Amino acid sequence: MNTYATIIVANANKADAQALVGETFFDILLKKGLRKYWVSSGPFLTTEYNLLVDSGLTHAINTEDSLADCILSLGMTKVIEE
Amino acid sequence: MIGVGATLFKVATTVGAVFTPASLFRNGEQGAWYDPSDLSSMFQNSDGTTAVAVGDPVGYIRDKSGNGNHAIQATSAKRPTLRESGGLYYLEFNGAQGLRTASNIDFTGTDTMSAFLGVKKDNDNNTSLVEFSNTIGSGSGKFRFASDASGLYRWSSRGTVLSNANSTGNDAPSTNVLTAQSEISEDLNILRIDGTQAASSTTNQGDGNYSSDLLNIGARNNALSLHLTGRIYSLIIRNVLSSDAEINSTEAYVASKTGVSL
Repeated sequence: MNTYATIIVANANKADAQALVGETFFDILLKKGLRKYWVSSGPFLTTEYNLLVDSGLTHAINTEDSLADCILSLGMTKVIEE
Repeated sequence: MIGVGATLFKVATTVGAVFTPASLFRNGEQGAWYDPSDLSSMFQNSDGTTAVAVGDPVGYIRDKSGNGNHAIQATSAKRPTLRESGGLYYLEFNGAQGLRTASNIDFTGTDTMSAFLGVKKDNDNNTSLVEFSNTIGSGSGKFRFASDASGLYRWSSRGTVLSNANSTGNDAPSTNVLTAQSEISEDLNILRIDGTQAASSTTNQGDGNYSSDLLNIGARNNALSLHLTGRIYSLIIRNVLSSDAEINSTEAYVASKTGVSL
């Protein structure tokens, strides 16, 4: 089963969140002012989604909006890293 | 004496022969053909298990060229979603997804390339649509379809030197059939959009053949950056220059899968 979601973690929680679900999650950088956040967005396995929800490590969880709309509503910008 | 109704000759006729991209690989051409309209070619998991239905994530898409260059995504949240609209099937990328071949594609035998892509872009961000390499800037023998600001589409071919064929004015949202032809030794670099040549470059591409590397789809470096927000309907890549007839047939095929009128 999959749960489609956008999940954002603060920079301070990135490593702990990755320890839960894997280092290939939360590797897209967001910024709000000087603060750094990391996002994964897409079809999480429901087990992964539940782990993250229950962890208390997340800054935001959105299951309704597109990634772009979610980032915009939070006043964040996606950092383009070539 | 021939009786009434007897037949002297039988004339072989071909009526309505249907083109299939499989014919582009019948002479052993290296490359790949990904077809989201063929649900049997996709699976939810990157190990090729769990069939997909519309609305499911795609973690594995089989290469239908016969070359075994299957594309996968091991990280669940980075998998594109199979969608259908108006009878057209596509992989939906929301700006954080991407696929990559499970192993290198060996293009070291030639310095020629043809690529056909049915795509919809929802924004004009700097995007790597298809990239042969984790980043085209490193190493030799790479290529890439990209989009960017000002409604740009770009085909890049790199021997030891990078050459870009750029076409602007296709502002997002835009659904298009992109075709590229390139040959390193001849400094040939042509980008066609919706069946018409849109750009070319004669910039020196340096030397050598294309390389052996991974093919990224919908983003750079296994969905690490330059993500597509949009759709991919069809992708065909082969390591030869295509004839005019092959280009016309393949563009018509990709257009039919993409919902574009040429």
